[in-house]
Amino acid sequence: MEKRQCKANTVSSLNLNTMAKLFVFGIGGTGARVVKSLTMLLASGVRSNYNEIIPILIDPDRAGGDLNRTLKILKEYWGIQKELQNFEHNDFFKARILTLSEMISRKGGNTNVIDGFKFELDGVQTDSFKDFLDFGTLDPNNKYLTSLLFSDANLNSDLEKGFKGNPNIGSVVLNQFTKSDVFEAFARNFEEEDRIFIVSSIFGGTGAAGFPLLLKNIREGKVKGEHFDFLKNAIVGAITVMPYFKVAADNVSEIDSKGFISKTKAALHYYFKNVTGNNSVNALYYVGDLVSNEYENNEGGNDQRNDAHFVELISATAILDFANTDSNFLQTLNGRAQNPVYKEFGIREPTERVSFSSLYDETSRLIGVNLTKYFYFDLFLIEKMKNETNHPFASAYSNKFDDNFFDQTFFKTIVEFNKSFRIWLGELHRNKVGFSPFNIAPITNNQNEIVDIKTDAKSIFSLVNGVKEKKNWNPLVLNNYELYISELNKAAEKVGNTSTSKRFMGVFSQALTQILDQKIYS
Amino acid sequence: MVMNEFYSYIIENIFRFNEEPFSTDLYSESLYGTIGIITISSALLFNVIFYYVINRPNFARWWHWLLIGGVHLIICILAAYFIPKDSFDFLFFGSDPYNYTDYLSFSLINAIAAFAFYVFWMLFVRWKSVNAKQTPFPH
Repeated sequence: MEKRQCKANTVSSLNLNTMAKLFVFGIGGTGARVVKSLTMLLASGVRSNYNEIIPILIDPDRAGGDLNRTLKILKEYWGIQKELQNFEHNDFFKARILTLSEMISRKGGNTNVIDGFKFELDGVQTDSFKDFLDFGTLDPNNKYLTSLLFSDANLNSDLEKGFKGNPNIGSVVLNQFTKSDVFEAFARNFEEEDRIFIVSSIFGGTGAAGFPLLLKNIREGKVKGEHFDFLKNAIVGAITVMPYFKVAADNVSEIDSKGFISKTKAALHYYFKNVTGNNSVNALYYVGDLVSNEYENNEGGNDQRNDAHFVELISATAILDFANTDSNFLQTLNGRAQNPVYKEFGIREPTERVSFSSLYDETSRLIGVNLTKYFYFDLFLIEKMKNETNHPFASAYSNKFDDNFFDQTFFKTIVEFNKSFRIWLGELHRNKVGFSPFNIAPITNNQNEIVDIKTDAKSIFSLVNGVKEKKNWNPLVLNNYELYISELNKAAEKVGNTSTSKRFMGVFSQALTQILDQKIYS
Repeated sequence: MVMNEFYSYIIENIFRFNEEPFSTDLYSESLYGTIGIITISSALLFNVIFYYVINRPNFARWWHWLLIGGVHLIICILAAYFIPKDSFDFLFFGSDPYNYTDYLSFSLINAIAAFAFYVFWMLFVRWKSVNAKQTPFPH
């Protein structure tokens, strides 16, 4: 990673754009994993200038493990956030994540677009690429031309598992996206203050093909023959993720990571003319890493479940950086960015294990406190919650945190989401380069998949790596979980009586702000 | 004087302790007033200590409150035993006509009254406690 600092706006300078929306297109497996990291950051309370975020995942690999894990946590986030709207005492799940169809129906639009956070590509469910092209019906000349452009392996490729690192296939199949009802609905409901961010990898098939294609269509502003000026002049940001992993050599697989670098170079050359060269994008972020980790070679499907990676987390912070950048610096005229900005990310010094102290101040400020808050929220839930219901924060109010509440969908969804959060932390910890902000140890199953994490510390406030717990040697001062519970009790008085779900999140959010201030961050 | 009247009424009429001439001497020497002030104010004091000075999540179970109440009772028992004894020793020039069962009976009855006041104050004091407002039982 280059040693340069990401210029993020500080949280304190945010001016919440309550009405405008941020559309985040996550293309391919990397896109899905970056959106997963973004969801985790938003759940922890990292603030975005855009209060409404609409993720749209584009991936032909419907059974993709990464895609489906992201969809699961997006739906859980959505369900949790729905219960917490307009509640000032809570910082967790603050930003609203909604589907395109929900946004349209809320505006009174009459649409039959059902997206559920993902865009369903037609024609890829059961067909090979050959079938998709109607190869059999082509005349001989077109057949020869097609055979020149695509190998037999390409033509016989099963599209249901994605494009397997072949952008030449992706560019053909994804072209249908912009002709779809979903894209039309998106264009029709895109408003002047809205923004678009596109997440893609540059070294695979789906992202490398999808990004320039999507960008081109946005800048043309034409969908099904109709002109959409707001879309054409939209403020568009993108992150292009360069190689940060390789896959094991496999003669049977179509994916070979030896080609990642050459594909990246070719794509960058293409971008130089067609993305950056023509000012199509207002803010373009680059991120990558020395390729030191190797994943199993899975062409797609449920087996393609790569561990979460630090690069994906940083890509998610790029989305927030873009969202928090003032519009005055990101103007578009006639479909061309006026002063496009290009950013890279760097950490203080190369290390195998990145912690908060490895990050530059602005990034650390953006994510450090909030991730720590959420980590401790989850820690209490798994270690203590059900055995500490006698304390005032749980039992002194009409809406109690009792067995009845623990049986409700809201609490169960939090528990499910938090499990994904812990697995995400465990995967970030295990990966290379590892992101280990907390002193945790992953728990794995027989397939070496991380299924949970564990912590082991005498004092729970010594679990943040690189940050010393603020000690107080007065034996009468509260420590550990006793301090935690006492702050929960205080926070409960501040939050007062409201619905159980709002009270639950509000109490923990308020208490953890105080606890972190006393014990970890000043 | 008011406390002497009030506390003698509590002990003699509510808790039915009336051993003559011991009770009359307690009243005449205003010892009901002294013991009453100690018992009622210490009941308040120990509640304040439990709910606002100790005020710890790990010391907020009903038995913790009872433990502090126990300390309070011991103090009240000792006060109700030795304060009248010292006073009557002084009053009767060292030839105290009462034996230890008189003092013990009074101090045990006073202990019951002390516990009643400890519970009474608890009902008023605990509301603003951060960590123990649900102790010894939920609202």
